[in-house]
Amino acid sequence: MTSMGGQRRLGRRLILLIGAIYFAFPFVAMARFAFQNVQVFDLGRSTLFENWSLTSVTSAFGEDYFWDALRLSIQLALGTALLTLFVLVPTAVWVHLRIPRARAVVEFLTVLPYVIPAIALVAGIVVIKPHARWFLNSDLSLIPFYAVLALPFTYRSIDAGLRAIDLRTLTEASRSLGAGWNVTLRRVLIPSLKSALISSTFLTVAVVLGEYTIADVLLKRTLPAFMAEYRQSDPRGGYALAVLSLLATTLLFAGIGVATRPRGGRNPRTDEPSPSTEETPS
Amino acid sequence: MTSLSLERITKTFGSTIALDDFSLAIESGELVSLLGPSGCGKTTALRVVAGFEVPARGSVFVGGADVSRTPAHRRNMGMVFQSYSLFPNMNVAQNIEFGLRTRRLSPVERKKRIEEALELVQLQKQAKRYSHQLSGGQQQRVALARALAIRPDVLLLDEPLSALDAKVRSTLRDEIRRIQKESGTTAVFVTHDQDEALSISDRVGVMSEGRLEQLAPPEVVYSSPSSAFVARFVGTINEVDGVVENGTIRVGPYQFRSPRSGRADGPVKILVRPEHTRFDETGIPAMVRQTVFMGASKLVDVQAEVSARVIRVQLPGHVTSPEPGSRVNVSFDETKALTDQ
Repeated sequence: MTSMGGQRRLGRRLILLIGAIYFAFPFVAMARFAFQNVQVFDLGRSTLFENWSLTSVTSAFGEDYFWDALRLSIQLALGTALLTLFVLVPTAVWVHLRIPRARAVVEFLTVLPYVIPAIALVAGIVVIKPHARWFLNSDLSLIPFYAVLALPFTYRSIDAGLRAIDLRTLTEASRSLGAGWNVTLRRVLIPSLKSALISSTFLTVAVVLGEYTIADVLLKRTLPAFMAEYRQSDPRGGYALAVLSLLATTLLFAGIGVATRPRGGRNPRTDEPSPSTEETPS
Repeated sequence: MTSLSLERITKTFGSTIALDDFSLAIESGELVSLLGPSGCGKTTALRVVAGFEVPARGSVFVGGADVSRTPAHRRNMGMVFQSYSLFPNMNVAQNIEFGLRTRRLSPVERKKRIEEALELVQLQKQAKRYSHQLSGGQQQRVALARALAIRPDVLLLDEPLSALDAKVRSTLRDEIRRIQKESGTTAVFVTHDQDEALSISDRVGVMSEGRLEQLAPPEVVYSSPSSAFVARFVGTINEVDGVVENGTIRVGPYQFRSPRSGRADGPVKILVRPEHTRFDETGIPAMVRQTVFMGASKLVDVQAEVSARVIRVQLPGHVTSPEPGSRVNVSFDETKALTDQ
């Protein structure tokens, strides 16, 4: 039994290793192209540790437009995360409490932005553009579109959070203690959904940092738009930024793992041990 | 202290009638249990009182004031739920404080009430713990403290013990009763467990199909059930097939007149509790199948000759019981026997 278990563990590790190589290989290749001052046709095993430098990325950082693009992307990420929080959380709570039978329909609707390509959304934006210039002229007009694009990920994250708590009982307990909907949402539900909301926020940021199509059509100079443009004039710099962007996204996902890790059995504020008197916790 | 009354409440879910012209009046400081099988409407009645369900018809009065249109968060009801309902992001003291904050009480008053509530449920040492650091029984005690700290007009308990193991259940049941009496709070306790209802309540309301079958003190519900449903649902009951002839009930050679039966001539089921059954030479001929010693009492199961049914006779523990296989005659306390068709 032990040897079978060991084999299974080994098998799992092997699959993980193959997966890691599959993803790491192109990433390392891109990083070498971006950060090594070596001719492309010389990039081989023998030059693996030669002439690594950050000049490609520092020259990209030297562009004024880069910092504007980064600032806009951060603003868009925060705005999208806030819009998601203020609109999607109450909506998801309402669906769970009031129309639980409609959950499947809502789930289907929220997955549509993933199924329908962004270019289709762009076609729609082009149609309404002449009638909504007052809105679309603002750089922050991308926020609602990004909120829609992130919907397949954010809704699922919040939905999973809501399924993990006893929503109805917590809501009713709060209301029976004199709290209106606003206080219930703010003081009971949102803190109880902390992990789900952190995941949702990180996923939103990842979507915003990767979106190019809509920003390009609406002529917004976001970070992905800058990267695409910069790559044409300085391919190595463009790819260096892409590597950094990928790293940032990876760190965000690692952050989800850390931030949503369940708390241990010890009281984090008082550091008291778990109860040992009377009944044992079930 | 506040009285509670529900007047002619009807509540439907689609085509299902959960409460059917349901009325209930509870005195100040009284604890009334609503007892009944699953789906009888007892939890719905509680939720209507709490304001979580809006009835199609009827009114809810608290202390004489009509609260039927008052939203749940303005009703001043304390509620303890079946499932654990402590807010996971708050510790015990913060959970208790929650309802006091929504009432905008001063920090001094809040602190005082938290201490009082913790003392009431004897959990002073656990004030800083979070729900995941408490046992099920402790969580329900905190929920009780939280509900009482707001000094509610009515305390609503929705099967608060059903998720707990037997020992904790029994301890907490007694504790709920003690705390309710000490605080003098009017309380409604919903349960499907008859032992719980009989042991904790001033009065027990037995419900069936959205209606109140009987509302009476526990002893009355047990010893004088108002209907065959109540007799069957509360306690153990013998069901014996008989016949009504000219107002007299007959089971084989055994005949009696029951003051509680007004049945027309024809077949009838006699419902009688084991403790209202005795060995008597004029009774139904039967053979003893087994005797079970229960300490304070003995249960003797006999097979009636005229019926396929087993009749259980309860005797005091010290009385010598007949041996299995011996022939006996069984009769009933005729004043306690009920009949059903």
